[in-house]
Amino acid sequence: MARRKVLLAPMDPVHDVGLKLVQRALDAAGHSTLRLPPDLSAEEIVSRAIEYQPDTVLVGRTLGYNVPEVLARLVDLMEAAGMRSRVRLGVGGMAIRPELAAELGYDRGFGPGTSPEEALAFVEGREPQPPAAAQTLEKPDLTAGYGYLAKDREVATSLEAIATAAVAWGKARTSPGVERARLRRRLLAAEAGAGAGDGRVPESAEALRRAYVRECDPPIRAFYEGTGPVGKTRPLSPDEIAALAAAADPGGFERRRVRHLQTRPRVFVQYGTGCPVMDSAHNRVAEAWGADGLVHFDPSWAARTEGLIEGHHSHEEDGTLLTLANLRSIGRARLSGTLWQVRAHRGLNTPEIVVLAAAAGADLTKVNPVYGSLGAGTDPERLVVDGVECLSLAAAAGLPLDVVTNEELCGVPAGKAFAGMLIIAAMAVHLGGRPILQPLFCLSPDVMVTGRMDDNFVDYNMAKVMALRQLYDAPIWPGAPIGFLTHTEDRVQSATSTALHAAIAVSLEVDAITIASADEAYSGGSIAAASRVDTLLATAEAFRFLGSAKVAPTPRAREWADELVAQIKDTLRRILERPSLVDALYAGVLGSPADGVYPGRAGRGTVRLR
Amino acid sequence: MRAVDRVLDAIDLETVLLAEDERSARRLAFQLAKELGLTDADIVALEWRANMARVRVRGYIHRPGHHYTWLGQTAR
Amino acid sequence: MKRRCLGVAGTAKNTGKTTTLAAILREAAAAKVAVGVTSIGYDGEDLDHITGLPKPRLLVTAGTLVATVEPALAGRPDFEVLEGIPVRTALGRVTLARVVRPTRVILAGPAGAAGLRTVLDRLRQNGSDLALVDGAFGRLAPMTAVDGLLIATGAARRPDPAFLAREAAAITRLCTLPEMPGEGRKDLVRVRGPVSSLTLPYPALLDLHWAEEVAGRARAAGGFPTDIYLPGPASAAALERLGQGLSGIGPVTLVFSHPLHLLAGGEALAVSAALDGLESAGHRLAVRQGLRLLGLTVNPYYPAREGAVYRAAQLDSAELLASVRAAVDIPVTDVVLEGSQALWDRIWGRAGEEGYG
Repeated sequence: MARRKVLLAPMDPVHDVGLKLVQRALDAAGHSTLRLPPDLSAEEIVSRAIEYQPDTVLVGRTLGYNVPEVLARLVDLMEAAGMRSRVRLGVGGMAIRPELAAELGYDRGFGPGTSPEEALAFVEGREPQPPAAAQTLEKPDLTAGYGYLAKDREVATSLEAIATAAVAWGKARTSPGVERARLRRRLLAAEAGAGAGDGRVPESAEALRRAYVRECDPPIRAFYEGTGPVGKTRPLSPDEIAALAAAADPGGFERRRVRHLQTRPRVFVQYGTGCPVMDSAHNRVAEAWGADGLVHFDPSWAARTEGLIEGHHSHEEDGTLLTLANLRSIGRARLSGTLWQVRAHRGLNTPEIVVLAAAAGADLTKVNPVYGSLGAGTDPERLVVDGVECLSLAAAAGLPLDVVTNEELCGVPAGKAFAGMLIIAAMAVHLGGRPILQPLFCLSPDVMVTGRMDDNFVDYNMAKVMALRQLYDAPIWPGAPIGFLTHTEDRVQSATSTALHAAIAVSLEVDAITIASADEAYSGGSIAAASRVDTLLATAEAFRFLGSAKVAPTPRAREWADELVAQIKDTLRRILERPSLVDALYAGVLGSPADGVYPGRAGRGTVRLR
Repeated sequence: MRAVDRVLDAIDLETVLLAEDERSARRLAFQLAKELGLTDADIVALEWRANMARVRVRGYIHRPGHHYTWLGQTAR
Repeated sequence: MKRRCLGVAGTAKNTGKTTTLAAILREAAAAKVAVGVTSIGYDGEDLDHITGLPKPRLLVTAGTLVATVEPALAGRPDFEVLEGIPVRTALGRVTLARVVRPTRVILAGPAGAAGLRTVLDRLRQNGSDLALVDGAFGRLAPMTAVDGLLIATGAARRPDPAFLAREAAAITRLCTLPEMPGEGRKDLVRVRGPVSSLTLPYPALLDLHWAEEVAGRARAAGGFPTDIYLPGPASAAALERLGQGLSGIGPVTLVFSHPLHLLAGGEALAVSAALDGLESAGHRLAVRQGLRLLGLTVNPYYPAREGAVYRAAQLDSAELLASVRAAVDIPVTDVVLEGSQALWDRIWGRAGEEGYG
């Protein structure tokens, strides 16, 4: 690379920071530079250029009244002075667009957000290298480096005993949910013209679908028999489907950076406007503003109905329908480096959702029959059977899964909820899977009652992660979303709260977080895309603010972590006193009516022995 | 092409309204949205103090599931 | 074949360059003259990207050649791309295309005279009988590559008819300085005497320091120089200093490189006043390469700034036209008020004056 001579001319009376950064990069690359004092006239700059004889002149100027004229005049003087054909001219500043640079007669315009590398590439007459963040299209494995070993002897023994028994109990039983998942797998294989993976000839898709429909509730059956639509849904039109297909990763898409120096946590956002087209548009907004991952939200009513419909469908209310067509379209529309989670943690269709998630190319799923049966209305026995199938399917498909503890939101103390989470994680590991622990960063009812957040939101949230790390070597992904129940309808408050909880997360070096939009507390309509940008910007600002500094808790965090460890151990002991995990769930060991949760009833009586 | 056809979903209006009580602040907020041509409006946030209300009114241009005028132009 | 390259420059943004260019395009289409068009900047958007106000559109007819940047042609079936031109701009490489059916065009082209010469050559080689060059802002210097110029002025420069008339006179005066052909190196001042001459390295911009240096060396040469060649722009203050330095050494012919280089040196009124001073001291003025200034167009419209926004405002059209017309002895027109026929006749030389015909 030939050494270039570059004249840097800050025409702004005050700001020349941008040019100083560019100068640093040019000097480091071995070029010779001369930075003029700020606020020289166009004539003075041309005079100095004539003396210095640069290859390139870079001008920095914030636009203001009459500034374009001054910038244009500099170009005209360079031309009249006979220098224009020998010297390349670049202009940078807040309002500089390429069109304006062209109109003013510059060879290149550098707008806001220009990296020193772009200016360096211009000086060297080459294309700029993409920034490091854009180069890493490899999806991170959130579970890499974790051994899933219990770090406490008693906890290790308890989890082993409970998990082994629960897996065996579940494997001995089946349910309509398990059967539909198996039929769906065979159906997908048949439609793809393959055997079900066991070397047999393809089956009849028609016959499999008939068998599937027999295992569904009447509204779903009506859909397949063509006698009625389901709920407030409508099929997507051909132009909507075409728009979805066209929304695929355009390549070279530049994301804003959300992290600063940190490599963790990966930032997930939730979507589920009801419409796959709108979801894809929202997701692209989130990706552009730095989101690393997307979490699919499905409608709650679909969880209480046996069976899933097929095809591209829009839903009039919150939550986007889980169909393979919807999932595939949304999944394909994401950028190649974006992680994507499809949740299978509640309701009557969880095993089939894991099948669909894997078929659609999802990167992660979510499983927790303890929460799903205590906090989300599904029968414990049914959901444990389905849960074991989910864990097996996820392991077979290589899908890591998080184990969420949303029952805390219903009133269950964190210690109990964590015992349930560790059991499901142990069951997942037992079945060959890779679980991720998902404690909540939230102002939970239990915390409100016990006053643990009367002083601050830091100590107890940090204590949760400290306690889990003390007991188990697993990735941690606080959610979902962080700051749950602290948000108000005010967007600034909401985004700030998210950012401050993100500050705790980054201080703890957790593996991932899920953040809300600034519309988290607004329930009157669907979330606006602008509100997604709000919290991503706020989170990025928290990361930038902290860098490698950390939020420090008070000594209370350590005490509460020890208290949580004791609660977890106590809960595990009490489960071991019961005949089975399912019995413990009905008995309220993992959350009772006194705490605020009741064993769910959807799907009760549908489990049968194999 | 109208600019409003390029609105992805909604337009939020944020301002402070002078209103004697919260009830009239809410009424004024909806009226404001209507005056500005936002027919499908809702109040996202409103905090009333003394005779002022800090308000965020949302006018949906495209609710999820509706026909989007920008269809086919996103995600580029 | 004769090169016909017509530039349309402006004294400022929004003085009516695009409207003038659009009028010429219309007339050329009616007269079935093969036209090529390019720009030394960027033009063609609906709204001005500084003021946010609507801008006139540039419409081109089938057969027109356009030299614009690749992105302005991408995905546009209205254009048949002919060839790439090795000239780069802030918006990409310049590309030559032929208009297939009537359409509007976004023009962006070479920022400097050297690139413009290359582009004009390609337009001519591909069959354009008249090449039109759209100006940008008040940038005039690249227009040394054209052989005929229209200058648009108007209220957007300053909403003051008297000022615009005075400035138009000054511009016209600079652009119609007599031509004195001869050698001229870009980097050398040449001081010529009756029997000998000397050269000085020229800084390409005559500032105060160099004005003194040139005058001092001319004096030190001991003789009575007959002419001094100044190859680049000079500020009004530097010209005054030069005049002071030359006082008492007799009448000298000051030869400037190009009228547009003089205009690049500073405000036309100030430069013209400085030249007046030199002339009244007995010196003669000339340019090495002359410029054919075919006329002026005036535009009463201007964007009026109100706080952070702009609104469209207007001077009295007739008054503005009359003021400028009275101040200069070259044709002046308002194409919106008077139509484009007279302008076209002037360009094509049918009105009995020097034109392209």
